[in-house]
Amino acid sequence: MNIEEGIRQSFDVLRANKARSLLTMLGINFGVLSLVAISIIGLSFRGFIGREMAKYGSEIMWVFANNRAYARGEPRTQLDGADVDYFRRTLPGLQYSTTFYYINARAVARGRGQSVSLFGVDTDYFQIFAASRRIAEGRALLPDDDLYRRPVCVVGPEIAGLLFGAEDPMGKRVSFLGRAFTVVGVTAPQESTFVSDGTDDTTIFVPQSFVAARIFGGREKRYYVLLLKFSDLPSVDNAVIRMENYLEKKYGLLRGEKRFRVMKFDTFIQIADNVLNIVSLLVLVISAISLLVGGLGIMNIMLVTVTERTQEIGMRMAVGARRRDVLSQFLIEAVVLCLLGGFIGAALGAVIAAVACTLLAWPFIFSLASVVIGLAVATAIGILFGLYPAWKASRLTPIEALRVEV
Amino acid sequence: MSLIRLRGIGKVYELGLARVTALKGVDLEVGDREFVTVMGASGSGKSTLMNIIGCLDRPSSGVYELDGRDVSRLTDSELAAIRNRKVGFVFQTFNLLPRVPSWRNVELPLVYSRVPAAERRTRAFAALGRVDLADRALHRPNELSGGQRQRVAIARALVNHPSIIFADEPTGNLDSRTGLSIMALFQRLHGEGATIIMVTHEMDIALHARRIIYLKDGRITGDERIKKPKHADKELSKMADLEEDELTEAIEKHS
Repeated sequence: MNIEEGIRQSFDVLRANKARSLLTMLGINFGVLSLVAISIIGLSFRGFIGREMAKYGSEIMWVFANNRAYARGEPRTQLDGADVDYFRRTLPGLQYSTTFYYINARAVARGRGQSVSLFGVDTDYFQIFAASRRIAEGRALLPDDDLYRRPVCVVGPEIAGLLFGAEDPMGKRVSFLGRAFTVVGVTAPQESTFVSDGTDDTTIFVPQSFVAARIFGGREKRYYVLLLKFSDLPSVDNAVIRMENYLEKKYGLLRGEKRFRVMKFDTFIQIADNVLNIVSLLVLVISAISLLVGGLGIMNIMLVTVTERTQEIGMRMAVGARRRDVLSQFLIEAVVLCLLGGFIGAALGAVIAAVACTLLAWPFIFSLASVVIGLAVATAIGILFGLYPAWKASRLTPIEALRVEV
Repeated sequence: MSLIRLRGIGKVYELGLARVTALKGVDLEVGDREFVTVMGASGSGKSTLMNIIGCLDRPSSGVYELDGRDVSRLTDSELAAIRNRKVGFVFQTFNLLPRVPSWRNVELPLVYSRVPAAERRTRAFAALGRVDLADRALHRPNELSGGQRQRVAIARALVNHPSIIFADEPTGNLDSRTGLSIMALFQRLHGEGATIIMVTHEMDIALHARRIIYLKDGRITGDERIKKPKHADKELSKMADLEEDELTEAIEKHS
């Protein structure tokens, strides 16, 4: 029997047993679905990461307290001004360095109160986050603003709407921290981003000294986090070594652990990538198990089919079907069942991945390879688990097959 | 020349320790264009004989020549090819595929002889025409009457132009009137040149053939030519007349 004929007959059988065929396919559906979905999601995630990397440049790194070294509630060692000055002076290739402070406050504009989050930032902050903290209107904060303690601020688009309604916020006044600030800039709506500093469209950015003064009072300013951007990657690697050496020499270890963590954007991404790999592996295991169970389901239903259709097998042999015709017919039926299940699974998987990518604002990257592999696996399952029932059918002799009462 | 020539055909089944001898040295010749009935009680070996003649099974001993070719020692695949091209089977239970229309059932032997699809369709429709079912080609078996189903099965047996048609109790699942119409069809096909071998246990049906072979305990015990076979068409029209008379009578009684 040629393959075309076998496929035609398979569809006749499928049509006659719709519900049963569909239920049998479920395992394959799910297996291929998870395979395709995780492949596409993984690919899209990496595409998204690539986009993020390009946005910020991968030459970013940051230093912060190594929380692992400390007990709960134990005061963290923080960088002081001398450390930061030292880094700024000595690290080659350094372009920008910044930190930020954050407090909640109550803002009043046009007689109406609103609770807001205030971020004390500097000019370098807007340089490093140029891509994600774009200024839509007006200007960013300047070094002078901090130097002369000018009461100016840059507002997020959402909080601007809440405070000033439909009016243009530029030049308007808003009061918090006991004084009135003039709005000099509005940020563009934020795109989804992988690295977040905690700011969003409701944030108000003010010169750093206002917020720092509120937090530290008369004490010396400390740096919870220091963000650095270099001109090139070798400078980043060099900086990591020098900073770690400096910090260890100056502050020493805490119970054998480093007090600070120096992290490269690269490393950070790598960690996210590792998490994704673990998740992918888990999904692949689930996929493999459901394919196996699906295959056993196929084998089961094919055995039932062969028993049910023993007379048909006898008749086919009587009109000239050879053993291998019978074998290939039932094998093709099993493969068609699996492939159909695979197609449905691949389609659903792609749809699920597309929905996930839309929700996460990741670029949807279709993975044809995963679909091809999914279908190839489905075919292999069909052959593997269809072989025994098909072989059983082909071993019947025409007389005994015809004699069977159904 | 004989189409079928059996010489000393024996068949022994090994059922565990028991040996059952189903056929004991059967000699038989059937010529081209014969219409033969095989009769016998159950256990007489007639099914075994039919299976061997129909190439569904191989004899344990003896020589079977079909169309001048010794087929008693062929492989499974070679036997399948013989069944495909030389033999057409008609079963008691029709054995049609319930899922597909008549013509797809009829084309089945052609599928196994690798005839191209378009030609298969043409020949299937032609074969359905020969059994007066051209207008039922697109109907599925469950949309057909018992007699029509058996005619689809006969069309399937005819479609590859076999040398012999085998019919195993072809009227066993049909009422007597429909059975007669099937006999009428066989007689017509025989008249058109077909060789038919039929198994039945009904003498009424057997008498439509030209020759009856009796089997008992694995041996042929009788082989007779029928001088005046029954004519199924005439019987049918007689039956129709009778029914019409009865109907008129019944109506008269009632009114």
